[in-house]
Amino acid sequence: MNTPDDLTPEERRLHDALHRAAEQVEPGPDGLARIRRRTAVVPLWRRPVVLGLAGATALAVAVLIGGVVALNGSDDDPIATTTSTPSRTPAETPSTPPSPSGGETTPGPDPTPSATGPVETITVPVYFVADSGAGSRLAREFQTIESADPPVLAALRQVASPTDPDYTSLWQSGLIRSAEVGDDAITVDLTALPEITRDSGEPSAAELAVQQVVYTATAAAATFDLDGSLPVRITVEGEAVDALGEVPLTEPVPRAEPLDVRQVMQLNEPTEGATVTSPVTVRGEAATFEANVPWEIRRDGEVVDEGAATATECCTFAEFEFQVDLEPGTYEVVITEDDPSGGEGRPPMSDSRTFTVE
Amino acid sequence: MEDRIESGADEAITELYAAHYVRLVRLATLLQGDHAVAEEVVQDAFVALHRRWRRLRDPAAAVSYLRTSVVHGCRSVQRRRGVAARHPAEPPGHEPSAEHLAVLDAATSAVVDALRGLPSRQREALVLRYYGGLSESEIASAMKISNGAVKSHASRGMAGLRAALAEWS
Repeated sequence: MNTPDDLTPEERRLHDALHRAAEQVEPGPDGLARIRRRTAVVPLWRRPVVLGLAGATALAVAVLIGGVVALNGSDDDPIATTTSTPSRTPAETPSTPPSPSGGETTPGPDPTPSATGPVETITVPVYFVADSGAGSRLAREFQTIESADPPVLAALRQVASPTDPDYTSLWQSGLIRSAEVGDDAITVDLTALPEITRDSGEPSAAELAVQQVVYTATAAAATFDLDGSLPVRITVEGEAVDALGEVPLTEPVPRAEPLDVRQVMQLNEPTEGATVTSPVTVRGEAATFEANVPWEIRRDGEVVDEGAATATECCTFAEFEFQVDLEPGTYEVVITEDDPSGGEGRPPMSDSRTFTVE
Repeated sequence: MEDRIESGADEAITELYAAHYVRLVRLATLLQGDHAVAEEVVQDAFVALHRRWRRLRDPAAAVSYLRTSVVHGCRSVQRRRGVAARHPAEPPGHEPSAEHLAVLDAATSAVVDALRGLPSRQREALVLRYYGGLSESEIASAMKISNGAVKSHASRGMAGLRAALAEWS
């Protein structure tokens, strides 16, 4: 681009070194073709048609906002559905969001007096706490809600309200006052700190409670094209607070190491209680030994199908997906971590969802 | 109506690709070290831009959106590698792309290696400034930080490269 003349000799050397290094990189010839394949318009007759539902557009289409963060399914949750900007689900983008199958919309539990915008149907990532099989860990749901709040606040207002009956929250409802994405931190203001009424072992309940908010706020920010890498400052009625339990809150809190606080088996799709059609595509993320994701489909407690999917990478959170053909009925899908230690390590973690096939 | 917007987006993507793809891939390679990953990050940015075209029809805003997406995409890649690196069972696989940069002379390699050792915000500020040729406010918007923060990341980064740069001529 430009070669400013006012560079110091040192800056000039860096400038020249970077250009010399960059010129070694020759992109492949098919970049545009690859982009085209992913942006091709789906013919209207191939789009699902759902009429008469507020969330119909969100159901039929998914919008990728700030899509690059989806690369290889990062630990953020970069994908959102909104009614305002329809587009097509990217077939090749790894971190595919759950389509809000069944059109189920969770009403926001907290009234939103501070709402500023028009009410929109949005899909937000929200972190809860699950008994993973090896103690309490963070687990994520994508919730489709109607809210006039900015997305980070909308997501945080759901933090006390899991849809999946297997998930709980360490937060009582009504504690979130506001959320603001600033330059150096996301500030979340509370009416009061949550009451920690149980002990969860390692990580502690206080640590998990704080990380529920940190993960939710940062995931929602990343989803809506804001900076999801910011730490989270927690305040009460606008005032700084010292700590929640043993977790200091004087400084903004970054995301804890995912392998320490998240459950390593995470189902994203179908969502809990969804109604879907066969063949059913099950998607999620897992951080497992040899990237192995054993799964079972149960009906009335009986295993009707089983198999193993492979995540795209081992040992770190990576995407997996598999398909099953099912008769109409209600099923539960369960994924359970392989136990490489043969029972000597911590118990294997698992995740499950209940869904209905039409 | 929809078709017109779609084809407008297609045309814009083609033009933006011709004008910016190579530079963005090089930028992304400098930011996170791997050429193949850089191409994926940049393609993701174009795909995301196509989806947002309705909201973002101004070409200048489009270029800035692409840059921001690429910086963010590279951050995500780095973050994932950070997680992987701290996890002992992760096999090696994300080594800096020796094969792509093997032909560099030793002094340039030393600068690139030193750059790779910097904290990511410092590396971003330096690469956007001295490879991207961007102004401070353009860098601030690509990195989603304040102008002042750009300045301090850049000067700390420069300090970190001093030894490697001294050998370069």
